[in-house]
Amino acid sequence: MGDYAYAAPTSLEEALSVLESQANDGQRTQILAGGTDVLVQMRSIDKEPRTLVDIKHIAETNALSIGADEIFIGAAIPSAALNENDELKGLLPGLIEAADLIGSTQIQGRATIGGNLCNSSPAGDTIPALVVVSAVCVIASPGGSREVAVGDFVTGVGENCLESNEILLGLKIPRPGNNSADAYLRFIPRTEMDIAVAGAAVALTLDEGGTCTSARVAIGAVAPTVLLVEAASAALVGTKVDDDALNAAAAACSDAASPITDKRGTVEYRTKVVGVLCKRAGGIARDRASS
Amino acid sequence: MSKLHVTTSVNGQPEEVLCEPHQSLLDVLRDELGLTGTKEGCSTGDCGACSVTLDGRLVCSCLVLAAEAEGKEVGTIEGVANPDGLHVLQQKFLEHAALQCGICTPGFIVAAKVLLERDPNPDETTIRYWLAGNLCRCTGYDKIIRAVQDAATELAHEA
Amino acid sequence: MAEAHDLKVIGTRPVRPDGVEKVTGRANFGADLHLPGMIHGKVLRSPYAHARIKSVDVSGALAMEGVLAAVCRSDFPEETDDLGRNVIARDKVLYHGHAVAAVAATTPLLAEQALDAIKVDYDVLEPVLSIDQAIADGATLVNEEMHTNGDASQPASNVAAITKFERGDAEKGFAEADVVVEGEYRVPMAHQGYIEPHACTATINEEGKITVWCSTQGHFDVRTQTAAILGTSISKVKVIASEIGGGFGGKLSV
Repeated sequence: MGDYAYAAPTSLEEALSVLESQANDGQRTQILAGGTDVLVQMRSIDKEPRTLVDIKHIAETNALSIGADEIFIGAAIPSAALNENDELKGLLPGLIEAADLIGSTQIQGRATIGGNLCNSSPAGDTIPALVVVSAVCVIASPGGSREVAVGDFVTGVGENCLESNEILLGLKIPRPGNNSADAYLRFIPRTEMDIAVAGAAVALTLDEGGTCTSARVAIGAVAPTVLLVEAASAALVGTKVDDDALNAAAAACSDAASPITDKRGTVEYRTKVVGVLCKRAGGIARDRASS
Repeated sequence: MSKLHVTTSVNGQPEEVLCEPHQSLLDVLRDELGLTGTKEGCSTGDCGACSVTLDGRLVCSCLVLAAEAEGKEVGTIEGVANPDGLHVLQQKFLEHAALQCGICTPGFIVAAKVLLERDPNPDETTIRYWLAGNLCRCTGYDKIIRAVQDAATELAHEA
Repeated sequence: MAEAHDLKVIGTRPVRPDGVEKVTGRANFGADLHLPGMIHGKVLRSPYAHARIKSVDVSGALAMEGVLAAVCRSDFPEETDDLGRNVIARDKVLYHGHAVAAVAATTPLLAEQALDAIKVDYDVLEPVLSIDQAIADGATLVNEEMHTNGDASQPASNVAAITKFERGDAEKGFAEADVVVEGEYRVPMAHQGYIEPHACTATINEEGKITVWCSTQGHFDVRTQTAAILGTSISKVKVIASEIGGGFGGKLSV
């Protein structure tokens, strides 16, 4: 059994080399961003000692840029800082709402979107919100960097395609146009500090007449991984996103859901609720896109 | 296991500590620096009893490694009162009987102080959401909310 | 009735006497005492709800550098009662999480790692997981020492006690009632949910005198029970209660 150790590399090269050298020494490594999942799991589920590699001192993971075509959100930026950025909130209100739903004020002072994604929980709130805005993971590997769509990143419950010698640097998101907007809603029994029973994210673009020209709908906590529901998107495109269209999208979400029954909800309940959330989130996204 | 040398500032005082890599900021505040006003409730970030500020941002000290506090400014309940006496929030918690057993009280006061520094005039909903990560088993929360509202009013008059 | 101006307390808003200590973080709760040379304890708990303990071997823990003590059932007086069996499992573990062994080490992490070095050989038995299962005819008996209402003339039972609350002639009342509503009601198990975990610091000197500082709702009970569990006299045990971070009945006994 190895020992606990802590490393705070100040450059990407150093971080990658720490991962490499620790692995060569037979020491397990663990990337540490906000730590709100990692530290809890390290003390309860998986206590094996490891080297914690803190990525909060690396320029790339702290970068936040809002360009003409693209937005980049570094993997080490806490949700609270994102929520304080009015421009970002205006461009990606659904994603920022999803981040803002995770945990308390205290948790948001540390927790990051990148961490939420790497934790790869079926109920991770930011994952559906990232999928609908076509976010792409920017991953640093020893050989250079690679990019993976968020929808392809998570491979199972708590599993993703990040290798142990790689670092998620951040998320690249196409800048939404003026007639585009996103929204995310989840259901929990109380209004704060809980894990989604079901969640739904919708991003859509309207033309000048208010007709939907493109849409993406993703649902969470109703399958082992977040699902992009193409049938729900198809139900919205070409419509004014009226009740009929939203009902059809909701039905498509309920059809696509394959949840489990656990302490947070039954199969039947989650199946129904995820449709309702899709309908409401779709309405919010439509109103945002048209205003 | 080799210890880490961490240089930080706690309530404005420079501090140097040797800590284990896995040790939380909470452990180090309580066990190494003797600042036991910050309480341990759940150690999973759910109860907020260990609330402190890290460079002014509200965090659960159980979910921060002591090593992560390197070069940062930490604020704890011990730094809330001033040489002239209690902070308005502390006074209002007493006046409104916003505490019984008191184990959650330091966390609530630290959290509420950050809120009032950012938003001097929060409405009830804002206060309730801001403090949702601080659990109290005794008071039923209402008296805490009244105390924070009253403190905000008083601070506004002082300003 | 006295005039209002004669009353010292009624009509005022007194500030609680322990208030200032509590809003400043000065109040000392169960875990707030730090003694020089203090070491840390951790408890190994059963992963099974019902099992016979064939053997406990703490030698692996004791061999670790920084581990100062490791105890199990054989370190406690043989004669014991329910409380003594609850504190450390004897022949059987009676529930998931029942304490089986404990270690003391120089750091909490070391103590925790030492738990992994303790070997317990269990003979896993059928668990009894519901009231219906527990009271059924021929039910698996969990605690072989337990008799309903403590009546040892009756065979051992899973039923700890039967308590009836009655007032007047209930049968007559039902017979005369216009409507009788019958139902079966089930409530889940509940935890008191205090925010402060159980915490305790203790010393023992060369004479066997014990001082315990702890978060408790009854320090005299803690004294009596500690003495009984350790097989010593209450005159050798001093218990100092700290501030208590919530108890709600959950911190009554050791």
